[in-house]
Amino acid sequence: MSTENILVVDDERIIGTAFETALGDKGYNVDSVLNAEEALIAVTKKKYDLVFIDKTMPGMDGIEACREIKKLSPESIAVFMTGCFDKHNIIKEQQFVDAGGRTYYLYKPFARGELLEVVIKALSEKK
Amino acid sequence: MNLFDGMKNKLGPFRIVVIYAAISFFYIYFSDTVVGMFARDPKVFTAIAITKGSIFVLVTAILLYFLIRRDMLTIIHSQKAQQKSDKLLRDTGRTAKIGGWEIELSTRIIYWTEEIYRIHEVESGVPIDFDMAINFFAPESRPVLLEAIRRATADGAPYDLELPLITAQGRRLWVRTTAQPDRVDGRVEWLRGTLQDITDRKLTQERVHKIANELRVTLDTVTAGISHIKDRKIEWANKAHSELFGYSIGEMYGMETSLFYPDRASFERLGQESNLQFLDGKTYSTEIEMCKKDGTRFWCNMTGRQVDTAHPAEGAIWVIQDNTERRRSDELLRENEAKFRVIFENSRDAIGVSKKGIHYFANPAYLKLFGFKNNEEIVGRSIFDSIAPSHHQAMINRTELRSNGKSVESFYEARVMKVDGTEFDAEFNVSTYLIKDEIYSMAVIRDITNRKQAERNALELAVEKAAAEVATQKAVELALAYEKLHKTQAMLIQTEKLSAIGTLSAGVAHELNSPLAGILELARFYLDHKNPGDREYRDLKQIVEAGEHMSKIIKGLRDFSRPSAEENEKLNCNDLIEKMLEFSQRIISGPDVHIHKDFENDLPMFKGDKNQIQQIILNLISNAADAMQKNGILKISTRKVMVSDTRFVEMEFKDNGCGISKENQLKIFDPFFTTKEQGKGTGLGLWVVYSIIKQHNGEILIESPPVDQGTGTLVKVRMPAVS
Repeated sequence: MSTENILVVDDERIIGTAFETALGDKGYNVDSVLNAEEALIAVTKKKYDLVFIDKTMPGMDGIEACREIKKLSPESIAVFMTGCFDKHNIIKEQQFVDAGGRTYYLYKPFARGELLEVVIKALSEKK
Repeated sequence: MNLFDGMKNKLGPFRIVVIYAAISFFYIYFSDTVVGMFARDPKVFTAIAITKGSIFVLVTAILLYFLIRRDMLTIIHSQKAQQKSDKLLRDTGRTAKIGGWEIELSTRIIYWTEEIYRIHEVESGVPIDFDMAINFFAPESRPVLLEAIRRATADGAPYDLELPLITAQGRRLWVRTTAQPDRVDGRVEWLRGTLQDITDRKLTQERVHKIANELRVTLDTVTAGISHIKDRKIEWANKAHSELFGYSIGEMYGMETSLFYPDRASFERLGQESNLQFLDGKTYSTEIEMCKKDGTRFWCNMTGRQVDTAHPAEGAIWVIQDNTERRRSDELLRENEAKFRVIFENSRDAIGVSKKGIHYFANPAYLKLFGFKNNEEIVGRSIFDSIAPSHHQAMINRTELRSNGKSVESFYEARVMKVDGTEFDAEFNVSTYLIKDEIYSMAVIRDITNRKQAERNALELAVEKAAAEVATQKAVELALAYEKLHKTQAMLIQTEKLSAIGTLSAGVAHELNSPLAGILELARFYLDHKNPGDREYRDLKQIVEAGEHMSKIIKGLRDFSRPSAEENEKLNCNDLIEKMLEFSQRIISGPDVHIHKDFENDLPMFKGDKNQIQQIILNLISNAADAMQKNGILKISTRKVMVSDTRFVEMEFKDNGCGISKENQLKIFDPFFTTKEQGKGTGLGLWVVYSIIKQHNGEILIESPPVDQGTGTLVKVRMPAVS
């Protein structure tokens, strides 16, 4: 059984729920928060292997959140997530990568099985 | 002397002697008787007798002296006279080259005077016989001479012949020989005559004859009528004169010249006028109408001159020339001149003549066209004064070419200038001609301002007409184009709508996608835990399918959400493509697509919205990738190009995929046009590309298949470069 901790930062509550349900079923410990500020608190309380960060959020946006989270928890892998397959987001992805994050081209809505693939890939790269 | 002369004349010498003897006898006899009567003294007597005898002897001696002297003088005088006469005869003979001769027929002895020897060039005194003398004559003349001598001898007929003679030195002479027979008792015993060298005269005669002959031929040949008029009557006239007036030469001898004049007055006038001139020794010349034998009148030139000014009575020589033809051609010339002058003066075309670039003369139309008041104002002015400065060079070139003997177009248009500086368009027709080694140029100039306007109007009319024709011919195409226009218009309207939707959706897509992602993820999760037979399975499956379709729609709409073009910055397309290739690994799915890059270095930058340009690149790459199945090769190249003076940066995407069918090529830029299977493509990709490029004033060209390969698609994107 996997014991990796995963944090989902998305202002859409159902995303967090979906991650918890889908990944929890695979044995991951999934927590979800609704904004960057909550995420920053969360990463100080618990050590997360993966942090999925939505690009657009009220308050601090995804890129900034990534930068801050990496400061607080450098070993966590920040994964870029965005609202749609949006080619403009390539730039944002770049910025996200520059902020210490990673992109697995994870665009909402995800393709079938895509989420789990990304989780496995990211965790394997961390090791 | 008179006494002796008288005696000599009256008394013979014998009588003189008898008279002398008688007188002496009586003197002696009676004197002594007389003395004896007075002197008785014998001594005195003797003394007286001696004195008387002495006186007698003295007187007689004196008489004798005078008589002898007189005779002696007479003899000497006559001898001198003879000599003088001989010399005179000789000199005369020498001068006249004439000598005398005689033949004694019985002995055939010939006597020649000295001059004859000289003529024959034979030494004087050499004995000459008859045959010799005859042989001096030229062979052809000998028979004539012998016959003349025979007749003179037989009949006593004198002769006078001119015959050629060959001298002892071989010179050929002409001689005149005459003979006078001398009869004795009715028989001709002697022939006497003269022989004269007449060579000079003969040559002169021949020359005169020749000249006369030449003169006759000349007179017969000249076309001018020539006559000698004396006392207003014809002495002689030549053939041309006869032909001119229609009288025969015979008819004209002695004819009154008044017959040649049409009237008396004209005859009188000519007589007076010519006499006045002749008085001054001048030649008289006039143009006059004369009258032929048949009454026809004609104009002629008459020139007359006295034969001998010292002797006016000798008359004058007149030369008459018919100048009817010349008068006619003069008249014709005048007529033509007048005719052409009328044309020249009244021509509406401006005609100007120039010499070496200087106005020579011009017609009124020319003066008017250029605003000159009169000819004086223009003569001497340079022709360049009338050419607009902008056309000077062209004119100079033309003039130079012409002076170099090159052919120059004679018909051209140029801009000309009036005296007040106003310019207008004119048409030139220039011709050059040579008069007495000087080149003149004649220009016929027309103001073509109106014509140009008319041409423009005509052109417009023609264009309209052509347009109408084209319209008729291409009605179908026009209808189609109209339809297309409508479609485009509709499309534009739709675009506006879509643009609004895009902007709107840009804001909400993210919001929609997140919940959708949650819904889909959860629906899929629960679906995975159901069996196909379960009641919820079908419902969850439909939720997932509907959600997936929604996500695609949202994704497509999201592409329209373009930031405003204000975010323009200078871009390097090589960098952009490189970056896009890095990030598009996911799009170019499958291992069978190979990318070849061919980037030109030092490309100019172009201005644009970085995101939008990246989107173009990404769309084109993904389109190409979608079109390719296996062994896909996408060749991406960049270069700079010049298109109608504008510098562009060109990006080329060439794939070897399935390509675009001909019918679809027209539609690929239409929004919502897609060949992808239902639910996969949004039909917005190329439309977005097209819109962005247009917004950047760029161009997009699509070739399918590319000219150099059988399948695939070539897309060229050109962006205007910035310096």
